[in-house]
Amino acid sequence: MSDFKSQPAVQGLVAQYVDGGLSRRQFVKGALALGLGMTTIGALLAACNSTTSGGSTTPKTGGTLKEGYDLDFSRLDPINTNWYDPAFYAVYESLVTNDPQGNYVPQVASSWTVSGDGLTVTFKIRSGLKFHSGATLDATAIKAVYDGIADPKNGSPLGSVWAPVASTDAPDPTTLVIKLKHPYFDLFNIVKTGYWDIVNMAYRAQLGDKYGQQGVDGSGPFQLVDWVPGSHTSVKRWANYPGSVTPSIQNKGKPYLDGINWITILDAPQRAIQIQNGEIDTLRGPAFQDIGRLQADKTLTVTQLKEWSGYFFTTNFGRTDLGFDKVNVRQALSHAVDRAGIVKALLFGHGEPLYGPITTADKSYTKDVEQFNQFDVAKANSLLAAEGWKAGSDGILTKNGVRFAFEMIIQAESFNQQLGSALQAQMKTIGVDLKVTSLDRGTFFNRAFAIPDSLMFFYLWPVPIDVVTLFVNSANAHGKGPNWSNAVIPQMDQAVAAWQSAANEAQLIAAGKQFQLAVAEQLPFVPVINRDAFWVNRQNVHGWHPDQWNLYPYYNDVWLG
Amino acid sequence: MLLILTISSVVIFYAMRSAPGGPSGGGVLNPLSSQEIRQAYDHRMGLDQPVYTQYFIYLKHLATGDLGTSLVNGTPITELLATHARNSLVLGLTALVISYLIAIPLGVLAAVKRNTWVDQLAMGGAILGMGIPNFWLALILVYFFSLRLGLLPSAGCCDPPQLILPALVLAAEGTAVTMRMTRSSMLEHLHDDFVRALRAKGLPEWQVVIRHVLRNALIPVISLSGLRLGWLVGYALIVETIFRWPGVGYLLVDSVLRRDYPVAQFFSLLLIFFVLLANWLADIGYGLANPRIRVA
Repeated sequence: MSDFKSQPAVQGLVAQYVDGGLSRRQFVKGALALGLGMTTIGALLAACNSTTSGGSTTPKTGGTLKEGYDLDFSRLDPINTNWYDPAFYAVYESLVTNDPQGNYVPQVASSWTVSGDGLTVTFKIRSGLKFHSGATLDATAIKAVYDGIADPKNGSPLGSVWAPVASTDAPDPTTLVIKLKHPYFDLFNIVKTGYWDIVNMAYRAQLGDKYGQQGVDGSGPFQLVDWVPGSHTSVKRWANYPGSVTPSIQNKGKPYLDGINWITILDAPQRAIQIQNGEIDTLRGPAFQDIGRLQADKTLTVTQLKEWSGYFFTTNFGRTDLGFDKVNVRQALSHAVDRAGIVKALLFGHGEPLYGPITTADKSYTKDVEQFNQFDVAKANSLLAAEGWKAGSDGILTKNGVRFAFEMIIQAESFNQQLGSALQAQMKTIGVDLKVTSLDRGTFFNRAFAIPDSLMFFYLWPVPIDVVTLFVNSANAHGKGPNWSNAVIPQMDQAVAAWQSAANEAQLIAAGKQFQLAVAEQLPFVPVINRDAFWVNRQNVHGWHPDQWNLYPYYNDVWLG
Repeated sequence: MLLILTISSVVIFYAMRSAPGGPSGGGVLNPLSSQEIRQAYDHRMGLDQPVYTQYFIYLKHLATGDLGTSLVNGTPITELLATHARNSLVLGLTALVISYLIAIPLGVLAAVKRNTWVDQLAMGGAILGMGIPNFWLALILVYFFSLRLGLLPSAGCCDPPQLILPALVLAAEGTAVTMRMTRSSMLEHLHDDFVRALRAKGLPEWQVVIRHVLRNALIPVISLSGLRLGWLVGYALIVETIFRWPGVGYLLVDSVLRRDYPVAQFFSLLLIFFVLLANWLADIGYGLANPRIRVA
């Protein structure tokens, strides 16, 4: 083997591999072409893996980043998308964003002030900005976006979190004034999300239903090339990008990459294979069972973050025969859930039990929620017995001739199915007959708005309380929004109102705690688990830094070695 | 053929709309959208009209050559057809070529070397090929060639290396069936009177086998080809989905799940048309290969 290693061709191949310029597959093919046997190649690979480094630190321009993504891409229309995906961070910008420490930092706005009474927020907008089309991006253009979100005709399902806004004004091109009905410190949490990204509304109106499908017009460093649902989304460098003013972004000019290609990989085990095989450069969301293997691979870097997500299930308050309108029954079901066991068995320890509605990573998380919803079968049984439920001959509880049996619908996805099966087994231990029905996406949401007995849902949002308010707000019950339990609980509405009227960060955190305790105790839905977020990159990828406070990495600094 | 296509179009049209959750129910719009927004979308798209009205509008558009556009991403179906049909054609043809290149020589060899280790090995392979489900074979191949050896990509399109694994998987069962069919058909003819006569005339054995026996033995194989094209279409739905090969099968599965009515309708009909066409071509090929049938 030492003879082979001394050959210039082999040395060149090894150098390229170590620098990250070749994938493992390309390396093996090259080595085979040089006449090396598999044993020799294996030994070379092992030797290379122990010396693989990040390569040089001088950014190189060019190349297309191939990023694997665990979800399908939604249409790229901030106002009416299913979900905002990583491409939003490439083609759009918002008023503000977060730095890796969670501070609000400029993006389209260069600075901002909040009035003493908390009722007026004034943003200074960077001058000279354009959309990809060349149209002017100024305060008037941003006002058009925010007014569009507020207008029910545009179909934004998130209007309720914008309800505290009284008006948006643009007195001059570089000044945007948001007037509030009451103090609303959470405003910054809202406008930083992809749903409030700045879009050219004139172009959006021109394309109508095809906006976000056939074209987009944002101001981010990349322009959309194509979006093929179920397959990929591609962007290319925007030649006229004026550069970023965000302090945490190092590259103040045009992006280094020629383009980015996000590849939808819905088959969980395939994600790890593709990044190990060098078919993709970066990856979001490997299967949990593959994480150990990826961490052991020295050609890869695995980043683990807390994720702003949660799995929960609803209980239709209209099923009064089952007592779902009674808090004791909901608490009984919750006590039957072995959250820690689920995290260990299904997430391989890469997650946490959810005792309240949000993850421990959130600034306002309170450990007080952990006094509720602990796994306690005896307590579950006694709560149900106190409500008059008794075990029938088949072990299933009955009351007034009604069996305690209900259906939970889930979206057909492998982890959902595993979780559904776990819940089914755990409900059985307290004499509850749970039937889990797996449905495709269209059917699932169709039935969700018809309020099924129960449904399991997964949310992901950078400030989770904001999205959770949608699920518990009585204004969203009865098909008007995603309150799929039809839960009308005055205590919850008060908690939502307190959250939405916080005037400063301290008040926001206090209101957040109140909100969490209300959910944990009243259970408008039953929280289950939160999973960790995993990102993986090959060594040839530089400047790619997923962080805790942004759902996706920014791509301005990314370059390929 | 036209009658079958018409009946199929009605069945597909009604089946798609009978499935719960239309395009506005999570397929196209935000799933959190209110009922009002979804109703407004249905109205804009004409999805709130009676199904028979929608069907006649659809036929009217088809008659004028308007195949429609995808509800999900707004791409004209003609564009989808150009890219996805090409991809499917490349995959299907590659699988067919692989299949015949392996199956016919091995089938002939197995027949000529009957009851030897060559025969047993070939037939053992054929039994495996028929018995292994293609989704499982796909996983095994991905495990060895992508994960363990790092030689081939595990999925994607459309570089030549990305074609190898899906084509092999798609070819597997057909290869096995064709190999067995070739062998048994060869065995039927190897001891025919005309073969004995040819040998008696002193013709070299390879000429007897290849030029005379194989030609006759191929008749049932050609007949089987028509059926095989039909199977290929069915298997392509699975193989293209596993390997994320963006062909017609992949698009069809995706569009059904998203309730992208125009796309699902058109490509379902296209596949039906293709199967009918394949059977028709097989009949013609059978006639060409066997003049007795053509004359009759």
